[in-house]
Amino acid sequence: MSEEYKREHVFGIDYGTSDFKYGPITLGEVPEVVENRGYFVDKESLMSKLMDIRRDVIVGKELPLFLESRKSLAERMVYPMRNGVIGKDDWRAWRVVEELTKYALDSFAPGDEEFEGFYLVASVSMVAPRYMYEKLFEIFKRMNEERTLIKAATIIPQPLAVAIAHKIPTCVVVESGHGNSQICPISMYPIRDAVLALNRGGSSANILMAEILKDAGYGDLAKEESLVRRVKEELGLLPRELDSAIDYAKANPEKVRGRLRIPGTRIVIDLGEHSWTRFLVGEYVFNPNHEIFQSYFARGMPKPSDVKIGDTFFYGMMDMADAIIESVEKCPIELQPHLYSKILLSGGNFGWRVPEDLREVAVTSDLKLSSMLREKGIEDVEVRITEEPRFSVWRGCIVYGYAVPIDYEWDWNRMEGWLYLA
Amino acid sequence: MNNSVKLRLACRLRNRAEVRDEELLSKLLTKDWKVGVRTAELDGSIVKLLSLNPRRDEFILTLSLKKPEHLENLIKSIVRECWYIDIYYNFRGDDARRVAEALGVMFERKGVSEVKLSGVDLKVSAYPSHEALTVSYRVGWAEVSKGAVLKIHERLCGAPKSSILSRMMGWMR
Repeated sequence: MSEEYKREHVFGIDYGTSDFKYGPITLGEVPEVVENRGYFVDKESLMSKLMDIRRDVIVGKELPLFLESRKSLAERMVYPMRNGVIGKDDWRAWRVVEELTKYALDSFAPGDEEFEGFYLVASVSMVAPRYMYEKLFEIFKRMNEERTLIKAATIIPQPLAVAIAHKIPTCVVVESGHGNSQICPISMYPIRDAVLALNRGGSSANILMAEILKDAGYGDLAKEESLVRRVKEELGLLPRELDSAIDYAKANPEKVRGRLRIPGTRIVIDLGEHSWTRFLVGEYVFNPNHEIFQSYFARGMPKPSDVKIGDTFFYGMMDMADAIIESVEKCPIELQPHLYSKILLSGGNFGWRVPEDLREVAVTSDLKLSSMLREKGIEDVEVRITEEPRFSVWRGCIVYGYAVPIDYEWDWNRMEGWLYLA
Repeated sequence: MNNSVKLRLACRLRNRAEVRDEELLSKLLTKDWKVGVRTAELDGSIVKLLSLNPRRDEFILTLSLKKPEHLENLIKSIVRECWYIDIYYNFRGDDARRVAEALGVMFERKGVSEVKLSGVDLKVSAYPSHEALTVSYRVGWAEVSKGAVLKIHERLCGAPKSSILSRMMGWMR
């Protein structure tokens, strides 16, 4: 097996909290994306028998075709990586991971005789415990039972993948996905003792968006998670400074008015006089401590809580700049200025758009975080949003797979190298 | 076809690179390219150094191409230092179908086909469930000097359309 074979057969998988990104090196710059979820079909139902549905879990693009009632959605839909960590005995979540992995590899595995399996680089949350690595390798081994799909596999933490994709050996990677945010200083390797996790991600902004929709008279739509997410992505804004953005919105209601038509349906959402709340959605991700959010908490919106998952403590209400400072301050003092001078923002939760006519009051994530850090006395800050932040982990997987030599075998102490499976 | 075409190039060096990663592009490219840190630009076309392998005898570039002649320019500058260059195209959606049709390849069936074009063997991989098509081929100095790169590119991505004025005036030439 040669380096040349590996170069043609590196396959990246990013097990994101919301989206599952996958594909071989030959896909170029953009991976395939499906939601990181699986639907457990009621195999006992008469219709499943009549329709000859043999699979117990449905994943991928055809999943919506199998959905039943809203009630069964809650019972049967499983999002395995919701907070980046899967319980050891959560068999339903592991089953979905297995099915998604097979779905991804199967759809790209060539049928020719020369194919001897992919070199798979999988990426998981920085806070994933060791047993997740072990479980994933077990799953990868099982992939080969019917047909060899994986020649060798390796697993890397998502922030490291981002740093690799950008070839920046010393930096802080802030990876903010659907379920949570990870802050990880890197100096050649991730500095594990300094990793800090927030129990806040895109889903927190979705929860607030749902409340805003209820207040604006769309309570029925607020129950549909994918719709709420879409409204957030289209209408949510990140304010330069929240109070002045709200003042601006109230003084210029037409400029800030949020209106959205959902294609293929009759649904039109118009936030009308509630349009100023568009700025709350972005602010909440970066700083949920503003007093304006108290009214939502008081009305029953769940407050992001501090939780311990595995060995990791996830902070609920810490603002993002404080989280970066706390994380960096756990690193050697000499290193700290270098870390502040390269902060990389990755993940779909940083993709806030700025409409041309609202540039005065709305900003991108890098500008927001730079100003938050400066306010807290950090100078010489450089914050950068990665190119297409949703895909930077996958791209890092591909670069890593290309660079790690075939004879560099997996080492459980260093947690790196190829584990040969075929 | 999109305004800019994205390609990936894997280049096998004759000798190990002895310069730092940041200096590789300035060593290889002609002066037309504005070279930055791991990137270079020529009239809107951008090339990025993705990675060098640990043996430092191979590197991967990504290229966002505005004009086909920039591809030829790039390949000609690099190939002098290389045994060969593997060029990868990835097409999605309608572009994938169109290219498959142009190459006479069945797009609806997943698999790898080989097609000969301008004396070069093209490997065409079709992934119909993802509506994706990958085309790759290897060139050395011999193929480059025969102009194969530009001919293949034009076959895959279409020759650049002439302006309406030049088409109207074409009869005069």
